[in-house]
Amino acid sequence: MKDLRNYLEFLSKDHSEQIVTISEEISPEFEITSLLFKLADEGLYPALLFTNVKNLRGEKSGMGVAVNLFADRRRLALSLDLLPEECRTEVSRRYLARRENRIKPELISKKEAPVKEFVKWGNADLRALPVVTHHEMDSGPYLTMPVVTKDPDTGAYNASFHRIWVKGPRDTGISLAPRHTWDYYVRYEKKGIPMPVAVVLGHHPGFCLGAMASVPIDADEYEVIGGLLNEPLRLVPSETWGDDFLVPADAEIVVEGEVPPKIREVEGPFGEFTGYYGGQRLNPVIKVKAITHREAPILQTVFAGHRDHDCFLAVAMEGDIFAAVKPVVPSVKAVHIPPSGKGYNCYISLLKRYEGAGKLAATAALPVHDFVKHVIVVDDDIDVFNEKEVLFALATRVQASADLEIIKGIRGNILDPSATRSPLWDNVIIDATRPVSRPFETRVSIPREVYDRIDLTSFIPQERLKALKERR
Amino acid sequence: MPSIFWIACPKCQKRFYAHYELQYRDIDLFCPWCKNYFQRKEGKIITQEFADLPADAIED
Repeated sequence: MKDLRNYLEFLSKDHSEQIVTISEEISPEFEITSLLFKLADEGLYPALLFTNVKNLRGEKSGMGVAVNLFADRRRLALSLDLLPEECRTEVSRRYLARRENRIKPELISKKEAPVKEFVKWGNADLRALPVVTHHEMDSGPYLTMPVVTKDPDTGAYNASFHRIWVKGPRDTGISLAPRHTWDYYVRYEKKGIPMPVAVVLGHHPGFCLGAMASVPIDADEYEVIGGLLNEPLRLVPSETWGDDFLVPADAEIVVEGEVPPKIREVEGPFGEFTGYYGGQRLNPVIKVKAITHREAPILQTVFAGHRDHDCFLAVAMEGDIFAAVKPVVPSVKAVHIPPSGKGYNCYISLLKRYEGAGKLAATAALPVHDFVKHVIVVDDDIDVFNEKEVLFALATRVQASADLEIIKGIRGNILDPSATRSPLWDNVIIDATRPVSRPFETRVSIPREVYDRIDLTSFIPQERLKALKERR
Repeated sequence: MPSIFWIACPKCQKRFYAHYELQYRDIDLFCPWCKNYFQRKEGKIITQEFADLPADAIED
């Protein structure tokens, strides 16, 4: 049975280089993220498990905080039962395969459900939790984990990520981008009834990857999550709605609440995945009804705007985009969403067999996620996981008049700081592939036989080589 | 058209930004610095040339 603490124990025991456990007392207000910033300055992105964290009242919370779980693709590979070195195309292919292999959830009793070990109903208080305040202009502490809702008409469950501002003991603001959860909310509003939600604060990474999956609105995402976990997701009746709304039984913490119709209050700013703050705007609210949790729960948070966010978005998007491009351009080799592009840049490599393949692949990729803004297509001799290679292709294989297309005024991502007509933006396709219809220069190379024969250490002493590498 | 506008909190004078749709509405904004709610019209809207100053810089 997969859950967050099993996964953390697995990392600690078998891949200890991937995780650091910190027992010094720490405040969730900027101190956790300051540590993460300093580590990132050193080029270090371990998962962090804090075991001694204050809550929002400044008291010892008795709870842990886990963060940066997704900041390294090797950990994402491990979470999908791959080897850490299988972290390039393998991880998004595995994601894709499991996304398609849906597994129905399993219902268990409240007695068996770890998330029901402690139940706060009526006196539920978010201030008892160690909710992280990430960045200095954020309006306050934010929850950044999946929110589960239920289609008011079909009963299908949807899980997706939404930022949630903790304003008070039972008051929050929630940002709803115009996707599936928003669609459900509009329909609840039309009926004049509040939308039930459950915020899942800590589960196995497979749960989160399932919540990121781009599937049709009528898909039951508890089944998709089961696929990503490679086992049935265990569910239990909620405190607020009973059997009418099931929640993950092995979550660390579940916050149950309702989003009332017709209420909008200011929410934000909040440091977003773009690396900029999303400005303050009017958004719905959640009125908290109940909080349930395990013994000594671990509150997971995603470090928004940083690699914890970048890599996690990337794996899900790469799988979805590869699946969309493959039927259209079967010779597609790899898709990569680089951390540098914050989800907005997409690199695709393919074996080019005919002119126009590059633009065809790009036009198949663009509609998959509203995050994809710029698509650069390269030949299969270019490693899309190596940005120097991609920039080399951009520099030497592109003539803008023929290879650059701009699609203006298309529905895009509402958080793009450069958009002046939000939610509209411009897509760019750059075909950085070599032409097949005319001769093209060849990349420089060394005779293979000579390259294999020359041993570096026969000419340069080992110590000198080591010194050169250290000074790199 | 800009998607945001900068505004200074009337209580602490620090600046933050909000989505343009709030600029002309009669609503309360929330200062992320001093945690104060204030009426939109009480806050001073900052022109872009001053928006890059530190949040607590006072504009003449």
